[in-house]
Amino acid sequence: MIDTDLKRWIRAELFHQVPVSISVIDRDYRIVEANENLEETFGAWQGRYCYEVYKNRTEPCDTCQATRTFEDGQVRVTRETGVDRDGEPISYMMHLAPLVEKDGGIRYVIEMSTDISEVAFLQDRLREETERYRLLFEEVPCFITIQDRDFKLLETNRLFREHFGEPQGRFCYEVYKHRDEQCYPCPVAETFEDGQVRRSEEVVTTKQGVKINVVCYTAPVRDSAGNITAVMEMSTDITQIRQLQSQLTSIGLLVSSLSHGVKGLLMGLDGGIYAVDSGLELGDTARVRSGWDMVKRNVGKVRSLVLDILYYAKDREPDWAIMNACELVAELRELMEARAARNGVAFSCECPGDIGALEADPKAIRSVLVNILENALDACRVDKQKSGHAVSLRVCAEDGFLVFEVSDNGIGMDRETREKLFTLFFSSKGTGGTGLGLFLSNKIVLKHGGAISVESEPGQGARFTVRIPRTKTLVPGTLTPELDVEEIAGLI
Amino acid sequence: MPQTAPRKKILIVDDEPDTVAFLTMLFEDNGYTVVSTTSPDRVLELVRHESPDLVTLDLLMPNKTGVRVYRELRSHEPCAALPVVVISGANPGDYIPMNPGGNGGRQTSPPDAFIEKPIDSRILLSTIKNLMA
Repeated sequence: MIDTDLKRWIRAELFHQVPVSISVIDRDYRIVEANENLEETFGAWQGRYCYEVYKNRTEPCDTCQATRTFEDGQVRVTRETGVDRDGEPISYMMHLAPLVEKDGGIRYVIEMSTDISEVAFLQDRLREETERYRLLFEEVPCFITIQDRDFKLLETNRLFREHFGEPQGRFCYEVYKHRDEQCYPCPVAETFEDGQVRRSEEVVTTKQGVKINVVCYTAPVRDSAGNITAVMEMSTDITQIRQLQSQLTSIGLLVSSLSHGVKGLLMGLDGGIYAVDSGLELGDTARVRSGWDMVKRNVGKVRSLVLDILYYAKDREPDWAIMNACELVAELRELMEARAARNGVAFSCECPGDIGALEADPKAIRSVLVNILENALDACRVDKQKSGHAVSLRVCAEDGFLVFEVSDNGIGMDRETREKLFTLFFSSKGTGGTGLGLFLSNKIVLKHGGAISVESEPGQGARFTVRIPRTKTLVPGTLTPELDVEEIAGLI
Repeated sequence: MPQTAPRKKILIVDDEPDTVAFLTMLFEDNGYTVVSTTSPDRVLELVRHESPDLVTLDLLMPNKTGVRVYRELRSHEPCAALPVVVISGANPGDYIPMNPGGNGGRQTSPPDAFIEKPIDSRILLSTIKNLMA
């Protein structure tokens, strides 16, 4: 009974109940039989052709798999796209099988189609997503590498390749740091170890040798079982931020240094005014004169401070001209002699008459020498250990260079002061200095292709030697000493 | 404006000779006796030998900062109570902990007064007068 029912059900129902569209076509591709699922999916089929029902075409398909099955009797599986009964595109897998007659001939082919639109849709989405992620990986504005446990670069993005070249089986430490072996500590190794995200700051070197500050994040790449198979390292270029920080720090230091300097100068001016006022009131001419000297000295300092700031604010190229060394010395003598005398310091100059000319920026070289001479005067003025003080300026020629030598017998300097002498904002004068003068003097002399050197010991005075090439020397690149933020911060 | 004897003595510590000259004139004109130094290393020695009634101290000086001088002064018993007026272009909070009374024990008590450069002479004079009263 059950057998009979089952057979009847299979004959009557199964054909229509299976979730597959089934059609039987003859050699003209006409559909001679089909199930309900086909009609529900593709619409009416009676009296119509396969290509009409499945693909809404008016003639047979260019590559018809049924034709081939009619020819060779082979079962085929093919992936097709067609149009459903509502005119919407549909993807389906079609299974084609021949209905072989007793005589071996094939009059019909049976087509069984499963709707895979959803699968196809998901596959397309996956492809799009993958493409999108690939695009993100390639175009994101940071350096990305994927590395194995030996730090070999498995994948890199476009920005990385532009700056560091093709990875070609090279290692992270080789490409980023130009090293022969692994770095310690290594954030990638740590992430391999414990799977945690790591952040670090590094300095890396591009293929052109440019140093870049980067902030670097590492993240584990896991397989479906959760094992770490690789580590992704993402590094963002923060060089500009670091430079900006450095500049802001130096501007902050400049402001603070200037404010100290200006307060000191105002104090000197107030002192001078007080002495002049009280001297006039008391009829004390000596006091008026000393007050007036204080005023003049401090106004001179304000003037050179302003010039220093202007020079600092603008990174000037030398304004080259032919200048006569002896004329410069004569001018300096005129300027310094009176100042030295007011401070009870003997001043002497020595310049051979035949010393000749010099190709340089006259104003800049003059300011360098004035700065060094004024420092020498200050070193004498504050020295209470000796009774007689002297400052001398000597010029001589030496192998294509002119050498200016400024000597004093003032307080002298210890080693630390000597070493920091040309550092921006370093001053040994307390509130009396801004730390700009020698920094700028050094910068000017370097721009001329020359050098400043100093010999000094505490209590023993100092000798500054400024060597300038006689003829214009083009110095390549920027000569502004790089500002080391930590070094500057250590000075305040 | 001479004061009744004995005249009070002030020690000026500042590396800038113009400032020393100014303060010396100002204090002498107002009836004080003045000793001065531009060298921070000589302060303790001068305090011992000159026994000043008050010290004015700059903070930013070469070789040794005024802060170190101040701490040395405070840690030497005979000078621990000596009035110290800081006269500086720097902000005192940046250099000396200003905890009132120094009750923490290890921290140095703040200076008796702080006068910012450039100075207001009247304020400076009334401050030192009060401190030595």
